[in-house]
Amino acid sequence: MRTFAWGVLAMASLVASLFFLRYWRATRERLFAFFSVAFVGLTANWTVLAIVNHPVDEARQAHAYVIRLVAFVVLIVGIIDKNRRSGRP
Amino acid sequence: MSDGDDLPQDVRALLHEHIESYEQLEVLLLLRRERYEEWTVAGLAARLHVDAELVASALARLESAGLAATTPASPAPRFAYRPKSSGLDAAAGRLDREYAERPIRIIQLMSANAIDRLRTAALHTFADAFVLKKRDDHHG
Amino acid sequence: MAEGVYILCALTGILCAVLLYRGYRANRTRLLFWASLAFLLLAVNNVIMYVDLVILRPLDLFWYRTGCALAGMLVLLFGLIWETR
Repeated sequence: MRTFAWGVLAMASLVASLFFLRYWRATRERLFAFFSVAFVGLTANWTVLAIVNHPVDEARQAHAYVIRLVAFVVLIVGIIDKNRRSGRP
Repeated sequence: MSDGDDLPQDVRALLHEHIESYEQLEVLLLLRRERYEEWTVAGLAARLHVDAELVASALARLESAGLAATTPASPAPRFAYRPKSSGLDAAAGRLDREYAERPIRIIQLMSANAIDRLRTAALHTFADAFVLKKRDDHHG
Repeated sequence: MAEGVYILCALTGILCAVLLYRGYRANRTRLLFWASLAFLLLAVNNVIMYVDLVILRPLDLFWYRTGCALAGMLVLLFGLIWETR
């Protein structure tokens, strides 16, 4: 059942990523490109969790958090980028 | 994505950027046809059989689009067709012709633009939410 | 290392949730409401992952934290699909 849950999460974040991709194309807002990449990262995160399917204590395993870290860092970079661009008069 | 390839590009741009409602379209075309006249809001409302409020907001939008200008007067300000560039004037002229020949096509394009505007408005609001510092010029 | 990552992710999620909620309050754009809720749930997912890590006795919080993530993604997709057409 755990792999099923991760599979659902991976698919959901892939779909979200595709929506953000479309939004980026529609509005030229770079923030959406960052969001799209971040959610692709989450897709990878949950896919890897499912593939490795560590029996216990998976939260501490490197595969569980490294990709997630990258995804959230991309989000942060996107937010910073948005603020730097909007800060200009 | 509507296939407005049959409509001239400048007409499509004019509709997409500056014409958001049917009142704006009617007001613009009337102002242009009788461009040597100056109108009050009430006068336009009576002539077009449209609510004065709608006419007033249409005129405001046309003014900020650079298609109309106000002359302050008493008892009420008067409006006239004053395109800020010859390109705009040409586009408005073509729009007039196209609307006369193919009104349904124009209306279809305006509806598609309206849907587009709604969709991207929400997205721009989403993106703007992530600006940490609110710009002070929006506050009183 | 793992603890730091989950804390960072939780904080980022909360930041997004707060910014989006503030935007929703200003504009009443419903997309922002759903996105805000979604990021909050994703943040809670990370918080629970941190708790899972820190508590020595292995409590199996898997379905709590995964449930939050699932709810969050569901809410996000709902918002993206429903509010932008």
